[in-house]
Amino acid sequence: MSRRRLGAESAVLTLVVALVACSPDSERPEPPAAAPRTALGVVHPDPQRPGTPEAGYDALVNKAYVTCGIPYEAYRKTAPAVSPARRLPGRKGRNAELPYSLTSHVTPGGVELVVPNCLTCHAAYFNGDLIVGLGNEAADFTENPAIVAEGLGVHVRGEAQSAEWRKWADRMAAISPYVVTDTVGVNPAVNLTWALFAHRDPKTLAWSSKPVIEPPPKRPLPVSVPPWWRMQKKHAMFYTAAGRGDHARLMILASALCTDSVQEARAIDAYAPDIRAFLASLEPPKYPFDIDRKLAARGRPVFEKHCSACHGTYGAQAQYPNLVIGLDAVGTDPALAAAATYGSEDRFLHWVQGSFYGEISSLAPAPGYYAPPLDGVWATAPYLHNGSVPTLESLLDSKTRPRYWLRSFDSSDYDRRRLGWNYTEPGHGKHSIADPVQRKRVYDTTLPGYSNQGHTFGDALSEEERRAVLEYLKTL
Amino acid sequence: MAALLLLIAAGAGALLWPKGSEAPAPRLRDTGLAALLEREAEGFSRADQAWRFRFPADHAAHSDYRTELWLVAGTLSDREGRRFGFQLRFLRLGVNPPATPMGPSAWAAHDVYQAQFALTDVAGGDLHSGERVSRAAMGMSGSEASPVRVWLEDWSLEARGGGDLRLRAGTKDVGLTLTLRNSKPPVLRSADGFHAYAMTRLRAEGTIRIGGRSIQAGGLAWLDRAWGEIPMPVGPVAWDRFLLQLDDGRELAVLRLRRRDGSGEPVLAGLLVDDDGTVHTLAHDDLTAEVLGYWPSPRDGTRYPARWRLRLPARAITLQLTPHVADQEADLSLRYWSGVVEIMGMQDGRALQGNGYVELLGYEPAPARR
Repeated sequence: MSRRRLGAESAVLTLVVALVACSPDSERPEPPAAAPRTALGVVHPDPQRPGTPEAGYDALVNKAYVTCGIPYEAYRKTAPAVSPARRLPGRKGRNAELPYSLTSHVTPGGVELVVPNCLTCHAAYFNGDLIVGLGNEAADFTENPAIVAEGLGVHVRGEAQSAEWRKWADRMAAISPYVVTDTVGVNPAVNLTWALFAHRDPKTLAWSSKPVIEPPPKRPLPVSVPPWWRMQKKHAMFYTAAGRGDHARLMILASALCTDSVQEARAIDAYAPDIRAFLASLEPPKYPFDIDRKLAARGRPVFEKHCSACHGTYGAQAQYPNLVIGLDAVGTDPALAAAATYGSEDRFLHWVQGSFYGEISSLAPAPGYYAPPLDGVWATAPYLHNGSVPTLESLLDSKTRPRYWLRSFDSSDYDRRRLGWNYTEPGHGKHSIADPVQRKRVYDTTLPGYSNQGHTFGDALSEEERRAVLEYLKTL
Repeated sequence: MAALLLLIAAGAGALLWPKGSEAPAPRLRDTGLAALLEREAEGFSRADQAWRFRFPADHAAHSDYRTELWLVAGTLSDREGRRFGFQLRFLRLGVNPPATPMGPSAWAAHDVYQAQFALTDVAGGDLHSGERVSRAAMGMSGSEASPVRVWLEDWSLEARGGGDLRLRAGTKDVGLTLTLRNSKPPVLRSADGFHAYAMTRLRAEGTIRIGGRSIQAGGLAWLDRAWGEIPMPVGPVAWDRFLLQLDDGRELAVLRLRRRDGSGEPVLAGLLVDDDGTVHTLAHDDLTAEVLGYWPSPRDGTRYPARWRLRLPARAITLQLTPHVADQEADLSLRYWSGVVEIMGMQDGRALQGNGYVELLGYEPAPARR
């Protein structure tokens, strides 16, 4: 079988060589088109398709945009009890009984599946309350998903359900080499997306069990999941401002694990503008603890003097500059932006260009990082694009940033003075931690991509100024 | 998603493997066990929350859960060093939830019990096995809480004073009576739809009846218990399972999941229990399992892996497993291989040895050649 395939490939190769050899001398092969990029500086807005927020919420929590998953019967056998705190209002039918992060989907063949939804990564608890749109910074991607999928297979019965399970488990096996992180809490979404592109024909979106373009490096670069409410202000998506054009079309890449045809993608895309409209309608939560209003008022001018040039102003006449800052200027871990713009990911950007997703959108990264709006920033620890700084206080005072730190992942274990997660410092990195559970929970800023360097703009603040700015940030 | 911990309970599924058309399973069909398994689980409790394990109470049935397993397996030897392997397995299938009102018939039952017993005579190269099925009515089978006991006719497992267990089983040709004394804290698991525990090192003493003689024998046994939605290998995934007891006081359990259609890569998981009872969970990347040889069944040609090499690279442990008797295929309502193996191994230049129990589920006869 494999020999036959190899034969076919070499036949195709021979044909290509022959064609090139026969082409007239005047026709030189075209150099590959430059991959799209966004320039540093101001990001200008692109037109967005209109949508209805209410319809968007309904679609978000009730529609199955990911269409492969675990047969419901197998899920039901193994699922832990769902506490009321894990349910969401507005969910219909079976969805009402599922945890917020899972959605029911009945396949055309009549098999009911339980599939992940956007809220797996884009909803999280703060102080015990589930907040839709808050990035989930406690998710554990350190387990190999292929192993988990094979394990669930022991609970699957019947031909039709087995076929659905196999489809899902095969996808999990295909992506598994690229999505296992070494730290609990960080997200491998970028590498996941590249891995899925590598297995799909951009024109037809058909799945290929073998990669059709070179897959990404195996080790995912860690990212922190940003809150959705930033979409109100940001003109481009993602840390490097790579998400340009129509945002809704890019959002449905979240379905790429199982969207196997343009027709399926189009069906999801039809309601995606509603979901985008819902995201853009989200307001950040209100700081749930006491605020020293006088101190906060003193912090505002300090903030506006030192921070607003990049992060904007808040309150009446709020302004947000939509700036992407170059790596030299911001100084934060360069790995993510470098990977995106030094050429090593260009094949994935080209993939988008040639696909349904690229019709009205593009992935065009900038060689720097977007300075985000800071609405609700107190809720979004840990900080920086890689989640390397556990508190806002440390973000504003780089010498206090812990090199190795460990948190409880309890959403109530919040430090109201430093604005971020309480943490301990194990005093050494992952390599010298024997216990595998502990090792995964320690954030080690000495690892590639995990550095807590840069963004030293708060270092010049006096202690009093810093306290005032932190108090002010509680009001955003 | 929680990591799956299937190590302990998986063996129950062996009972219901669907056979190919060439190998009918008359007794299985007669009892209708397969059909019972397909019934809805409505009305039964779900193992979806933590369980507070209590002993000996948890040795008895948990009838509000749908399926339940008891497995005792081990290796014994007599004073002359003659070696035997044994296994006794009870499976309870909840037919009707406990709350269901029963009709007036004395045969009416909430549960059906199925049991299998096998004794391997290593010196004789023989496997003696038997199988029974009974509904839990008229005292033919069942479980009770005081004294804690599970039985099917005269095969039984019951709690004795001091935490000991008493096992009795036999066939026309052989019999076994054992007292089992636990020597380590039980390994406890509540996850993935079932509650389970294992007593990984039971000291066994008792009597073997064989060839018309009674022989005093002793050795080690392993108890596996589970209740809830116990996985059954009737779907796309089957498994090989290794319960290994090393002479240095440690135990190793390894589960190898594989797809029946041969696609995908087998997946490994394991537990290593130290001499002092400390349990180390082993992930896929902590283990390797290599098949060193195969054994074709003389009954239907099924090609079972017969010798294995297991490795725990980070601990520098290598174990080679060789069946004490090649033919330990259970030729009952279901054919599968389950038997005792000899362990020879190394860790950091130190020799390791021991005995283990291995079950290989979901292997099917090779298709007939033209």
